[in-house]
Amino acid sequence: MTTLADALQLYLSGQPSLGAAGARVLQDTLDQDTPLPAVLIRAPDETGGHHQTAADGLVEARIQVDAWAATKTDAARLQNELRKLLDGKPRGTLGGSGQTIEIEGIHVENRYLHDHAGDEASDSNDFQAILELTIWYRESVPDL
Amino acid sequence: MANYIATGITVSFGTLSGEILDVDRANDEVEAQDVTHQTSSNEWREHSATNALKQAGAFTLLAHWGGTIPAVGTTDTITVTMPDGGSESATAILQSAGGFSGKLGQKITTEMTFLNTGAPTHA
Repeated sequence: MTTLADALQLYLSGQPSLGAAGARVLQDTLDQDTPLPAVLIRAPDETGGHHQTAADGLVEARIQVDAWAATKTDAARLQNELRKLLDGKPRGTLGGSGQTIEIEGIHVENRYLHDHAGDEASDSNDFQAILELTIWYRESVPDL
Repeated sequence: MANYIATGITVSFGTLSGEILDVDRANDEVEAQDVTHQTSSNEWREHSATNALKQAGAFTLLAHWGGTIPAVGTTDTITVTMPDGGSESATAILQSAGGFSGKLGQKITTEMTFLNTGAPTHA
């Protein structure tokens, strides 16, 4: 089964506009020694829809995609390239290498920058530019 | 007493098919006549339902856009089966259909209204 995060990772990986970060599109956690820039896809929060007699097969997912870079400018630039690849993407197929899902659309809902230099709980001086997305996608309907 | 969650309600009407969300049925109504007269007691109006005409309440459905909806004006039997297996049926005219609501970022829906003709049947 291809998850939304898998499909998103496959779609973003190797995108020329992401530059070096295109080779470092990861899920869930960024290892301490991961070179930057990099893209991190977080686990989504997903809600399925229904009609009177079954699930309707449409999922509304909220998912976060982070652009990590060594400078604020680079993080913002990478975030902007991610936005251009994702925001407003219409109905179609997302993924690659035989692992795809059918999406109904993608909206960027929120974006902001996290400066870890001022974070006492972190020993990182890196920058994290966050995109919060809503992605609607199709899943199989349980045959009950 | 019993109570039910509105899930699993089915509707049949001719070639109607699709994903139904909300099912509403209006109340039946009687055209009670005002029979207040000069000596009605205590200044309260009086009404009579004797031989008065009755109108069975219309059915309104909200569905996901993309199903099959018969043409407006189609007359057929509408049957709504409730979660407890009981049903409500009537001869009805598809009076209003074909529109839709496509709000940004929300599922596209369509609404239809069925005008009952004659008496409904509760089973």
